[in-house]
Amino acid sequence: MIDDVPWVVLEQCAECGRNAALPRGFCALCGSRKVLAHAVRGRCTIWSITHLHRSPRGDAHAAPYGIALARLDSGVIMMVRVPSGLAIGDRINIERTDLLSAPRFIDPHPPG
Amino acid sequence: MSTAFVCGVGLTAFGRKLGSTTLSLMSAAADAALADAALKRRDIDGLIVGYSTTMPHLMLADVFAEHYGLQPQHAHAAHAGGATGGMLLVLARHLAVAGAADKVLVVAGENRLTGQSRDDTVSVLAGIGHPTLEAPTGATVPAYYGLVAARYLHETGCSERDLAELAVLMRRHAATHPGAHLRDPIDVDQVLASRPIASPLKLLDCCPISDGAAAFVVSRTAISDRCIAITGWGEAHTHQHLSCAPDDVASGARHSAKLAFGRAQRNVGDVGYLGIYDSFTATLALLLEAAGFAALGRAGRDAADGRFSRDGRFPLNLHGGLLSYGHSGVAGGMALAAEAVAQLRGEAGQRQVQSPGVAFVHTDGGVLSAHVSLILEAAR
Repeated sequence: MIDDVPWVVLEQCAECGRNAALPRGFCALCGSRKVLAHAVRGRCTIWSITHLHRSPRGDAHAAPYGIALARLDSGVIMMVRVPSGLAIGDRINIERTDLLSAPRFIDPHPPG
Repeated sequence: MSTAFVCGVGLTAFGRKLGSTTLSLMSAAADAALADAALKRRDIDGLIVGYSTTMPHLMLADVFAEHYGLQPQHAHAAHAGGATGGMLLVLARHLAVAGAADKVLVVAGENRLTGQSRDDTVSVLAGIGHPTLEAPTGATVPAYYGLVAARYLHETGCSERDLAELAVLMRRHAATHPGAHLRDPIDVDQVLASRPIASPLKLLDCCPISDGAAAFVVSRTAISDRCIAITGWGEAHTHQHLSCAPDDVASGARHSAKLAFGRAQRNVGDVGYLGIYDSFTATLALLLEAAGFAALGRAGRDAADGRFSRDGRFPLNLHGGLLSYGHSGVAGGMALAAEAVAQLRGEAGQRQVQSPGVAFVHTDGGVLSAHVSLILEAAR
């Protein structure tokens, strides 16, 4: 069955299996240079969340907005911009299509 | 364990100092430290400076040496974010104990408040976030600490009211120091009603941005009976970016405190004065608990119960801390140690603690990323 859970690209070590959000070209745990882009499902749990009421200069986002640390079911934590109103423990979906970008929140029930 | 001695201290008033510059503030603090140590410029053979966000420079130590009139045998600038204040003393101790310098001047200061706009400061500091993984979310330093604070409240069951107690305490302490940036008393309800910054942190959970400077002279030998020994030191560096931090996010403080206590052959029970980094109320709660001065989730309620007051078991930041004495970058962390030295010397006037004996000082950089712990004692 095809579901609608998005994918998150991580860097995975072919030798020790460690996943990392930060692309290095090597594994920071075992030192191996055998690393590959590896997609995992974007289901995660909010580990922490803040609502920021003043944005830094030059940031296009209009405050207030949420910023979460989201733990993927595969264990890796990533920082992601989220809508207001979420809380620690909430389940969300995020998507990351390449190793150089930040993940984005995917609304499971988009308006319209 | 070999040791070195703080033999001179200089701490300027913090706040809005119109017309000040990085170099004018550093010079004022250096003047005060040299005078306090009864030393001349020619006595200084080592120099370590902190960084300045209003005067970024590849060679700030040499810039300052030239400006102030020093020709030391060693000079460098240290960069470890908010941990730098404590680290300057550790580095000076290492130089002195190694015999590489006899009298090391450490100095930092900047016009962080009047030298740039608030947005510039927020923008520069937000640079501790990862450029592709974190900064694009629109996060700032208060946001990173907001995330830490939210998790702390979730895990401990503490309330925002508990954190507010720490802000109230720091303001009460600052009221007794003429150099403090913020001296008007506040209460818990005012903290809770202050405008939201990065939930659960409100304005009064956050330290101000200040102008100011601090300096120390560290000596290989005790040159007077006012010298304070650096008997213990420890560092920990667990991560840089919050999204790469351990789940036990402040665990670095536990590691660095353990190292410092071990080297000093002291323990928590020996300590009679605390100088602990308090960039935000949540920072202070996490560090107090990780370093062993409060049980998990107890820091705020312990503050309300008087444990960290002048006459409490662990008098804390009696100058007002970063939250109220102020935060001018590296010097804000140094001020924690400056007050500890004043207390250990018995020179803190109306703020004086009776027989503090041993002081524990801790500075933290990044988002609980870099930690420096120090044990300071009256020379034995």
